[in-house]
Amino acid sequence: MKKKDLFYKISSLPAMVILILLFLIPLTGTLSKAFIVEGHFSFQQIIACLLDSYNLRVMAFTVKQAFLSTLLSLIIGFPGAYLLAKFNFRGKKAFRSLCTIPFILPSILVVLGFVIFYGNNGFLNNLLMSIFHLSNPPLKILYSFTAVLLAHSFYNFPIIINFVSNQWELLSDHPEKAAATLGSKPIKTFFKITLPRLMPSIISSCSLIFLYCFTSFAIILVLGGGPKFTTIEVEIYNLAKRRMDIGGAASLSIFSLIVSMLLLIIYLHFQKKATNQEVLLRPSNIKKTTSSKLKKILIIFYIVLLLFFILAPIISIFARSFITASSRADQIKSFTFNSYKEIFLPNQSVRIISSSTQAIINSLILAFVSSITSTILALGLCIGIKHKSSFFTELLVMLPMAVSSVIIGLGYLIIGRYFNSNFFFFLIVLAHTVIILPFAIKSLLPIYRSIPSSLTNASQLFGYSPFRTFFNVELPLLKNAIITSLSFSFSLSLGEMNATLILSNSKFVTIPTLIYRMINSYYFQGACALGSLLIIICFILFYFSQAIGRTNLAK
Amino acid sequence: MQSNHQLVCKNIKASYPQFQLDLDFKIAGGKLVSLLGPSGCGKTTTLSLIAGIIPIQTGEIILNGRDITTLEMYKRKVGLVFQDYALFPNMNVKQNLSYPLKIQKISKLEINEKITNILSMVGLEGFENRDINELSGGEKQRIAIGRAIASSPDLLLLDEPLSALDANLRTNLRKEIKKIQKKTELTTIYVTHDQEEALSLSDLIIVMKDGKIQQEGTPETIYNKPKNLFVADFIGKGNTIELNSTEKLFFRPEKVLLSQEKPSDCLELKNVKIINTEYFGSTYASTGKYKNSYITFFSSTKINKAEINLYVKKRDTLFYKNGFLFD
Repeated sequence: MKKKDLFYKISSLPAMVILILLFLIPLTGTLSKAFIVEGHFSFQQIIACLLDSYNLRVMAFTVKQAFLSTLLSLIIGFPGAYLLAKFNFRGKKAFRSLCTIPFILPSILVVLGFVIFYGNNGFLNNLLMSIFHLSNPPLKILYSFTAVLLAHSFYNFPIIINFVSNQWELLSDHPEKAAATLGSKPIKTFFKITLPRLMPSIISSCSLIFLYCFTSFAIILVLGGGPKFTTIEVEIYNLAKRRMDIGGAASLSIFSLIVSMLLLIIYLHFQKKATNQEVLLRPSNIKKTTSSKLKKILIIFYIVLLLFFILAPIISIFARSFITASSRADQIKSFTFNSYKEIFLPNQSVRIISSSTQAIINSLILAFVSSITSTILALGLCIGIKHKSSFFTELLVMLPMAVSSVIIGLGYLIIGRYFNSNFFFFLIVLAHTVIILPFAIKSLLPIYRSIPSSLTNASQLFGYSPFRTFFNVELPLLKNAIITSLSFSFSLSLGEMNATLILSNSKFVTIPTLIYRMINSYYFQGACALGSLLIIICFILFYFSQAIGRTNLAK
Repeated sequence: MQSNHQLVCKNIKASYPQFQLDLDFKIAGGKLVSLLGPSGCGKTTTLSLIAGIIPIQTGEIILNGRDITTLEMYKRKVGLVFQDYALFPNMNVKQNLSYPLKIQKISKLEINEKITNILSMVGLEGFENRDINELSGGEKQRIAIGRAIASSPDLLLLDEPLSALDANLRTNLRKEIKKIQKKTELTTIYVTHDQEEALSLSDLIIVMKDGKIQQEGTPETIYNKPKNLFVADFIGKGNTIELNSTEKLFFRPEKVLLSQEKPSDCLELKNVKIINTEYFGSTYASTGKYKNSYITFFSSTKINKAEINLYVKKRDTLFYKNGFLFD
């Protein structure tokens, strides 16, 4: 047998070591706490915990809210997928990128936008009150089940639009045409022919959304507002951080992990199915520009509604950052730059916003270091996976996707006790790296896999070793994917709050954790000012990676 | 100069889901040898084994006196022209051509000179600064061939290099490949499933089926004396008449004679029922039914009769017993 080249063998090693040391071991450490009672191995604790009536209610609620959120996302997103796949209209490109906005927003900003827009004292209620001359806010959405569902679907419907429209566009419409010539009515054709063919993408996107909603943290923590609407992740955080019951937290983590793994397997299975499906050989760009007036009105109505749904909370954040209210419920409001002054001239303030500068610096350093580290590690892993694929490697790589960041944070919290507090920053960097690694791989691996192996082979046959081939041929072709991975990882790390919150003490702040604290202390102007900065950074990064992607396509 | 290079593939055996590979052959230096067979017969696998893209399970490969069986790809000195050209999209024509030269530690001046020579050899003078994406399929394949030659390998492998091109271009480029090969005297293995290509190009043809060599020989031998019925049917068109369950008679359509009276020394096929006639411009090809067999033959005029008598010279027929040529 010919031995594989050393370069291919060792390239994935650093990432594997990091994943085993910094992901598997902390995870095992965490989970083992579920089975250890006073130093002895026992199932007592986990059984008691999982049968506890309060916990059972939490688990049931978690599943219920995830299910309903997924359903609502599907209902909101599906017409959009249909529009993008089947129609041509002016501003389609802009509509498409607008639809991805919620997806790139850190969850704390979604929370903030919802509080500012839908809140009792929010813009929507104020608007309705002044139009209908009401004395009380008519909409009491916030801190309720509705708020959780709305925020989740706001966050996740772009996944439906993205996945489903992508598959729909690639599907040949010949079966539909054949059905029409055989006398099938459009509605029947849709349910009998089109829908079954779209199922792989619908199921894969829904399972991913279910996974995200199942492990959602920030949205539940703030918008759920209380024990009535608590999910497993929030309960794990409560147990670990507030009640110091690590064993209980670990027991719940095991349940969460099992469900997440199942969802991930379903997602991966159907995603593969969706990409394996027959595709249109000559992608036809002949799309309808509808002539029916009713259809036109419906389309415009949908788009306007969706734009309102997407943009209102975001614009509210920008607007609110300039509004100073003299007290919380005060109706007298004035336009000021106060909070921005406090951010950039911290010495003049005594409020928590004064640590903004520190938070921005912390967040940027964290994002810088962890995005570079995870991209380099991911690159090494991709080399290993492509040239020497092993089932173990691929499974280990995807595993952090199934483990919620709260649980990863919990693992580091447990390890952190054995370290000097000086290692604390280092621990957070590592936690971020592990959390964003799967996403870096997701942006690199498909592109890396699409490089024809004939190019690599050609270079080697000309006398270049695998190592030199990588730098001469593969790396230049990966340039754009690397930039995408860097900017994607950077914005993910910037928005990461869950693990950071669970790990950090009160002195360490990042942009999201500081926003969270300001929301908790009802200092909305400050939260919005810092939030606006975060939105701007995320948009720049997003635009950057999109522009790179476009030049990539143009080539 | 390189006419002493020689490839020896000794007892190569490997199992794959579709077939068992079993190879043993030698190639004389400076020759162009075609590996011919239906798709999935192991031709490309054979190339991949020689190039080192897939590891060898048992057997030996000796190239130019060197044992390269377990050698890394980049130490083999084997050039491979891929079906998809494998030109580096991040480099222009000149950079692609100089890529194999740069590692050989030759001066810039010499590299430039070589590139000019190669471009004129493949008929693309002045293409140095073209972008790869600006080239047509045929131009891309010319550059790919030029680049493989630039690396001055001990053995040149061509993996169905013309299969992605249209028919006219294929015949033109095929002639040029032959010309270039004769000029450079590179020992070459040419993989194809197109029998016309193999017949017109090769010094030697190796016919493969299910991972095994069916016959090795010059194009003329392969066409006129196919060793077994598979080779007979696969190369060119042919007619088979079943004599009994083990014995068959085989002859080419162009050997079928139309005549009013029976010529001497001929096999007579009486009352062949014409079932189909196709017109090809220079000739008519008709198919008729004779007992249980279908006979295809050519004629310069259209056959208007429903039944016809056909003749084949006895020396133009081949006799097969149990599928093998019986001399």
